[in-house]
Amino acid sequence: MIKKILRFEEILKGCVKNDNSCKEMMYKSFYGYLMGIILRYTKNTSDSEELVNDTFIKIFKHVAGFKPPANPEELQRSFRGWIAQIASRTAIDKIRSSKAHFYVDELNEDQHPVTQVSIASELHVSDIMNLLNHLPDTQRLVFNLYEIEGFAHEEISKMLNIPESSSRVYLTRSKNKLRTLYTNTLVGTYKKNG
Amino acid sequence: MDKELIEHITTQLQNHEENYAPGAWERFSKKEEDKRRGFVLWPLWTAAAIIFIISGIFFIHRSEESQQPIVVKSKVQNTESPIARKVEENDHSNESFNQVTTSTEINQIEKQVYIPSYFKSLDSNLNLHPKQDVIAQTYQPMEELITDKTNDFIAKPADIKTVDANPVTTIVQAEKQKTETNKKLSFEDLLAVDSKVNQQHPTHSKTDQHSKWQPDVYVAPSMGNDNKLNMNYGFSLSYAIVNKLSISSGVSYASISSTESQNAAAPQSLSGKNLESINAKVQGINVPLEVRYNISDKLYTGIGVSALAVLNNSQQNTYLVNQVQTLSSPLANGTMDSKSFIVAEKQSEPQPTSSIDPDKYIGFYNFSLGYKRKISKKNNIAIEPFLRLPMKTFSRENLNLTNGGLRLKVDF
Repeated sequence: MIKKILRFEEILKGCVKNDNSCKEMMYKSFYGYLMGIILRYTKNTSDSEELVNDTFIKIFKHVAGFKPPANPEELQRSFRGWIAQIASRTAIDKIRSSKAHFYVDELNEDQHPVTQVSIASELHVSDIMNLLNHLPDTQRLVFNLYEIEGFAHEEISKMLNIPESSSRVYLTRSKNKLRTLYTNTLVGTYKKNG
Repeated sequence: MDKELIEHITTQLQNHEENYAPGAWERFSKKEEDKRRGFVLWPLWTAAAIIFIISGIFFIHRSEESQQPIVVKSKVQNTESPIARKVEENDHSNESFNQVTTSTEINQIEKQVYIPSYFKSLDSNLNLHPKQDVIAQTYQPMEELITDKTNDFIAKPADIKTVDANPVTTIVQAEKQKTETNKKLSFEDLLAVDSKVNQQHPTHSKTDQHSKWQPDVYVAPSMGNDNKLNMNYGFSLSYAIVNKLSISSGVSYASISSTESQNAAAPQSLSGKNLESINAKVQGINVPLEVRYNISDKLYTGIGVSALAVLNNSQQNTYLVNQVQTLSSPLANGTMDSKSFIVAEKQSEPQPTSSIDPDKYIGFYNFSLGYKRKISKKNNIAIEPFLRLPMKTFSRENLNLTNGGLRLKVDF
């Protein structure tokens, strides 16, 4: 059997028709993308594939409901956005179900002034992930949602069932923590190297 | 250029994609397949359920039919009994009338003349008219007769009237009581007749169940998870321990087939081959031991174990292999354009005997439900859906030998 390389639109149509080879192509081409998103939410790698699969189940189930944009050139980009949203929701649901409620510690605005930290060299993703893993769960989640997924604080507060102000505080804290973590590791490596 | 840390993290993460983990799709599709397989098995279950329901309906229908003759019988008895009752009524009323007439001291000759006409009217009116009418009408001819024929004997007809009026009512009352007792008698008769019939029946069925041993032969098409039809043939002998419970054993030729799909993908390397599916066929002699419970005289259910002595066991493996195919086509500029494709192909080959499961015996749990029908005085035919569950999975590929089918049985 010769497998043709199908165009994205054809793969999408095949998935709507529940064609298995199209689903396979879809799975294989977006697995990495979704895994990248999922890994930002979970530390546990064994859970992450399960979450990716859960996401794909939802995608295949609702792919007929995906509305392609008017401009066909934006199709793939819009589809990526759509599946990214499904993935992040799936991950949040998972986090929510594993914890009855978020631990909301006493929040007060940070007294420390926000200092700009500039990076000297390119940080690799694995280093970034390492930094993210050092953040408390809620901070990490809010950082993810706000900075990377681009949700507004209002949406985040609804999603996580926390006050909007808390969302803001968590974000500030996470940023600060990341900066300190980064400076520390940088210093650490310098020390090690020097 | 220095970049702000957060900004850097954001862009890095947004553009980041993980690598595809080999085998992820296979794991995913296997999960899906498992879900679907559970679904695929549903037709089998629904088929079994339909058979069960139909046989149930048929059974209920049959039992209703068999009840009907009893109703008819009692009706027949009822229609017959009034005649007998009437005859008896006549006798009794004769007697009572005799008593009355003797008490009124009417002549013997008059009595003979009077009786027929009186009873005609009495019989015709007894059931149709209320008590008072009967009295009036029966009284009338009596009075006439008395006045006509016994003028010289009885001096005062008016006296007789008064004397007679009461006896007639007592006659009617007495008759009513009599008919009631007659009714009771006839009902007892009916019971007696019924019990006679019943007495005859058990003796009849005793001769039927004369022997506790019952041999039968059967043919049983069955189907495993590969949806291939296999035929089983057998002989079984059952022994009735008690009325409802029997134990049966026998010997049968059984053939079971199974398939196992591995959901393999095309091999990654050019020379590799991936096992895609296994088809196995096991033939052997099956010796069952079964306890059968008769739910009714038509319906029975069986549960038991059986051992299959394997005579022949063959396994066919299907592999996915990669093959290179070259396709050449001349181009306009005179050169040849040749393209090579890697083609995944299916290839079947029998499993070497050395790696075939060495088990010589396979154990099964058997469940069945049967419906029996008489086709002649001695012979029964039975339809019996059954399910055979293996005690353990077979061979190293964990083949599932679960199979079910329909046994068609003839008793003799």
